[in-house]
Amino acid sequence: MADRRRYSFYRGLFTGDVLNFSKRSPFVKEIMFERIYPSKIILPMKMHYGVPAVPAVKVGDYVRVGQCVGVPEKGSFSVPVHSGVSGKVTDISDIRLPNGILTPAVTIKNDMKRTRLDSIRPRSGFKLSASEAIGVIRDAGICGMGGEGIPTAAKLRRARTEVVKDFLVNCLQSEPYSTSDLVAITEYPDYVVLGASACARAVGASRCVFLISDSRKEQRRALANSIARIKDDFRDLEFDIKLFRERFPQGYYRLVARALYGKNLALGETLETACSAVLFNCSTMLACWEALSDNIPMMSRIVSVTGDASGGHNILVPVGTPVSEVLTNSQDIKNSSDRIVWGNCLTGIEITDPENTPIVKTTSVISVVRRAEVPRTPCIHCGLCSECCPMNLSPNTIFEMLNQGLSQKAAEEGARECIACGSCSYVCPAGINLTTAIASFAGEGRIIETNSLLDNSSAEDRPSEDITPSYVGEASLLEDYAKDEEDKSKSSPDAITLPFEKDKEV
Amino acid sequence: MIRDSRQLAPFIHTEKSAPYIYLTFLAALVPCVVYGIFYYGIRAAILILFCMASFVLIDNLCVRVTGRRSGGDYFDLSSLVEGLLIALMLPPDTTLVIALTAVLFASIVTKQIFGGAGSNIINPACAGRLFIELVWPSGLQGFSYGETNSKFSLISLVVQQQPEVSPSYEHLSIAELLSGNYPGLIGTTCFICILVGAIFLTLKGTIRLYSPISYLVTISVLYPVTMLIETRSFSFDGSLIYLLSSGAFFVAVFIMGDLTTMPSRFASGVFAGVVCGILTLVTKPFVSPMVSLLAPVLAVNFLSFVLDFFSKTLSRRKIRSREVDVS
Repeated sequence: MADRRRYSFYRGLFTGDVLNFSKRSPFVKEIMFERIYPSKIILPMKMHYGVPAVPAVKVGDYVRVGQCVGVPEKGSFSVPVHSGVSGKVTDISDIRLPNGILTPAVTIKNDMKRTRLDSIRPRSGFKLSASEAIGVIRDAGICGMGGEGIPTAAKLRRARTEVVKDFLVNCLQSEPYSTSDLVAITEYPDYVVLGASACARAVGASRCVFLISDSRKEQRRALANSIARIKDDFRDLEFDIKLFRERFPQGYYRLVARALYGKNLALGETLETACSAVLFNCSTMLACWEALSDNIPMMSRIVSVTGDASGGHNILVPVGTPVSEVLTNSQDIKNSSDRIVWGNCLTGIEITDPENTPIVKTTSVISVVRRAEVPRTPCIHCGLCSECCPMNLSPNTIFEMLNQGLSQKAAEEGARECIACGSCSYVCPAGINLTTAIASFAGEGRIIETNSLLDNSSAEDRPSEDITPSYVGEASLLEDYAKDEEDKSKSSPDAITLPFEKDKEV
Repeated sequence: MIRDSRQLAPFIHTEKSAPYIYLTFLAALVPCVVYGIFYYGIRAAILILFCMASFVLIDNLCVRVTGRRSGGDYFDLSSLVEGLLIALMLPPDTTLVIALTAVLFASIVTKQIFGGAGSNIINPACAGRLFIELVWPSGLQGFSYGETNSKFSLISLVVQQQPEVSPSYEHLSIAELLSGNYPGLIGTTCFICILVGAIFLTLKGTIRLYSPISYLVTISVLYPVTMLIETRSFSFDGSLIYLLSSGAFFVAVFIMGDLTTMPSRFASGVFAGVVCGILTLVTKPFVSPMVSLLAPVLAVNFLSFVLDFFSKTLSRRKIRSREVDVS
């Protein structure tokens, strides 16, 4: 895996120097990442793209680690929600997430005993068909962990119906300061590679490609070693590592398509149809393998607590942990006037209520940044924004057109292509908030959420066709699956024995 | 999409604010200033300070009168940069009246009428300098360099000197050309100082090099051709002498490297540089040297938005056509 071609798109921010990207090597400072065990968790029922799950517990119920507390409605596009702690349900009420989503949420008070479900243990006799594997992933409640939060099972299933050749694993985490995906690779390279191989088999891909930045040498080596170790078990798959230059919105699927396949995707096009490839985040692959091998549902994730007002920490937290508990554990918050951002500091959302804002499945980073006043002046027409726009737009022209009400002209200029990456606002010497203006205009045309655009993992999915409505979340559901399908995802010599929700009372 | 009063992303911002960009330009011009004062004496220092101060003063007055922006978020360093650029492009024996005319024209007509810092279409320094060149062609011939006591004489700031013929540069050695040890404009003669400034700007990333490089390349390649037409002899010697002695290098770095008034895209920037170079060489035999340098730049400044628009349209042709079809 020595020197080969470095892929990238044209323009964008060079995060190496421009953004003062966290120079800390993950091996030096962040390898000792912490696990925290919060006193309570708030589990929103909608952390993914789709409809909310329905709470399956009542106030006063005792839940255990790994227990399903939210089941999707039958036939709906949703994923179940699992508890990462054990304790009593104290509250079920509606909360509003920072991105504006109103959803019911289950609050669980932790009893610190960590009693867990019996089903969470390594699978013995593991022999799964492709649709079984996808069923396991769906029941584990896995959704894209980069940003968009599309249910992984739905994406896998769609990739399977489209004929996909390349299975891309996105190990590019180019957002400023955030390293949670990289830590996932550093810590569990085998899990990432095994999960990717299993999923690649499940969708019938012939190539499994890892996309990683060329400056991340340790992670590259870890992946290469893991691939060398497990290559013999997956002889039908061809493994590859593609090196990318470290630029800012590199993980966005349209930019990956441009860099890797030289194709400019139009707005509605997906990677599957245009390039016959499918893109997943590496953290998602890690979660998939945990679900497949150890029967662990998606109940915890790695979160970076970082920013210029904070040191660099990566913390393994149960999903639903309040942000304030994450911050108290990182222990180096110096100033109460610092800004807490839910997400990375270019595309995230500022939160004012860290006690009641949970970490959700798609939160990869909590940034704490200093409040800095940018000198605001009129536009000086320097053109730096169009120099760095990854979608090759002219933000200053579009901004001017929008200010004068020429929205038709702005649309012709390509304003709807905006992916809200924040690069133009970042570089603007005059301190104009270009991104907000243009992205909100672009958002009027298509339904997007403020933080959901710049994802690190997944293609923008439009799940119009319904998935097969085999339901999830009840006891012993996996036994219903057809057992006699071709044995595609035989990834270790075991066969499936235990479903997730064996002893959940509904 | 929620709309609320919280600040939306991004929460971090580059250090390269507008004052920072102007500050780097000021810093890059410091070697030229030091050189000019060292070789031309007190009158150069007075001219430079006078131009900068009057530019700031007039800009602020205009802002007050029009009531456009009271106070502002920061001290507008663009006035300082433009005043300094005008001063450095003056001959050392220029009267203050002429300098003031240049500043007045630059500030009021080319900058404030269009809406202040950054909104100007053409480069104010360039336009102001060109204006006095056209109004007072004889008043800008004061290259009294090397005479005794010239470093401390201040009379030339008030009284118009005898116009001199623009000195010829053919006899100068390369060392003299590089160090700028010959009569010329205050800031434009020392190649090394300008190069230092250019490298500094490039390292700071506040200069766009498409136009300057293509401009210089065009001139150095095409100069022998024009010489061939004029003198029937082909050699590259003349092109080096012309580049170093005429101030083309100064114009390339500090006026064509400007972010605001020059095209911002690669194709349009290169095109602008090439057009500038060709126009300079074509007009050179017929007009005074400064006019042949600055008039093409102004012409390109007027075109820069159009050039940008066309280069963008060409590169996005497919996407644009598809969008128009849909709508």
